[in-house]
Amino acid sequence: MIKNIKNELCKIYKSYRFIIFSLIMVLVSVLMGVILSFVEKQGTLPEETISMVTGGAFPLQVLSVLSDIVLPIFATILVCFLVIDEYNNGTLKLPLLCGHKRVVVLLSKIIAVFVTMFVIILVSYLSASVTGMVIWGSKEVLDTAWETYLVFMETYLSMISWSVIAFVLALYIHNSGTMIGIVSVLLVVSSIVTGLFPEPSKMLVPYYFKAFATMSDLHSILFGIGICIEGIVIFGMFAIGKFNRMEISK
Amino acid sequence: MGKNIVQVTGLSKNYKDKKAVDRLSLSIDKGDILGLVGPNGSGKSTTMKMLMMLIRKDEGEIKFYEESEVFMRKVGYASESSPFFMYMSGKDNLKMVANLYENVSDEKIDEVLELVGMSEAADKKVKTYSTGMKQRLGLARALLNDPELLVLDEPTNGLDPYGMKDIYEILEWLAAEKDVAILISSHLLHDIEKICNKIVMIENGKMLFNGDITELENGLEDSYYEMFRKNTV
Repeated sequence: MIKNIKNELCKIYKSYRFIIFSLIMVLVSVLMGVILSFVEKQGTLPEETISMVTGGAFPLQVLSVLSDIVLPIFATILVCFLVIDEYNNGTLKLPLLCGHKRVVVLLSKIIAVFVTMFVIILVSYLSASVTGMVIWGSKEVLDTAWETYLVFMETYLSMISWSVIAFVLALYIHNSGTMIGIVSVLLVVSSIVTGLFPEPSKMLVPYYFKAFATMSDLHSILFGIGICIEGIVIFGMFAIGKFNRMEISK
Repeated sequence: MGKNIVQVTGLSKNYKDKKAVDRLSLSIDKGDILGLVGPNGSGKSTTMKMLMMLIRKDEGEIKFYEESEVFMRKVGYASESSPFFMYMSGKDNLKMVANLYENVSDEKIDEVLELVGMSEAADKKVKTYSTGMKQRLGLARALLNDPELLVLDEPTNGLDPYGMKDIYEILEWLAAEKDVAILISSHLLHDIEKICNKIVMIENGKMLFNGDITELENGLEDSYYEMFRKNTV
């Protein structure tokens, strides 16, 4: 299984997707830092509002911008690359032809996406923190570094839970463009629904894309973590069942 | 010939409105080169995919001499449209597969590349390869694990006559010297009858002939034999 995971990670790395996504994370952090710093200097917004998005709060502000659409789309693109594109170009079957079990093949792809998303979110955290330190001073950012890191990791959990849902969809939808389109619509709709109906939305994984950033109550955090882990397990089992039965004719 | 490697009995596959493969039986021994011949859409690729467990069979039995989970690691497979990671070099593509086997060294990768005549182009990205080069690389990939059974789905598609001759020479050498069992499909009988010792002929999923190449002329209706031989109707 380790060799399978290494192969999947090698594919992601050699296709430059990881590097491109990481660069986007850095770029977003820097651009947001520059823009917010400019707005702060202009003095057009109340100080109370400014303090909520700058200094120690800046990394979470960056996460808030990325976690709604950008990070879930990145996760979806990785899934499309490892499942749909491989199915269509015929390379999905290669590990099976080497005698590897289907469950091992799929799990190695899932774990590769988990690892890649962890690194991307870590890059986002570090680039947002460094940008914040450069613009507003290290004390402000370092004072809240650990709490911010925890929120990033909790959000990471929601992203990988989403990626497992994407794996299930990818096993049915054999076109990357259609997949990205459907996922984009789902994300927009879930964003609207979680805004309109926050209570029932707490049972849905997309609610936690942004929710962890505003949670302070341990019970809510643990409940959110539980929903994300439950999503990984339930949809993971569904994906494995589907992949085991799937006819790989290409 | 040698020990029986795989026995297929009554294999069938149905799609919604069509019987893609209808009660096909074949047997391959060590050192055999069995040609699976039929026109396009006759069920050759479907048969091979069922053998490789990529698609489910609806009826019939496939028996390997060992448990299938163990034996699949000793099978090499190459299809007519050999899939590759186009953004990687030929050598990196082979390394990806070599990693999935145990004990396939870098030296083995170099050896198979040399065997199929792809050593010089190995470090170039596959997206720059011609069809013939990809076919050769596909064969190299199928040989990485020193297979006991080679399953080749129209391996010479897209190759010029020299390329085809090279591939056939490699296959004859593998069967004669290494005792590899080879199942090779083609829609052109005259293409592969020179190297095969056994032939299975199919059309519309149905088996028309199954036996030694020497018995083919007598075992098949004249019209079918001539059609396959000349690839004309």
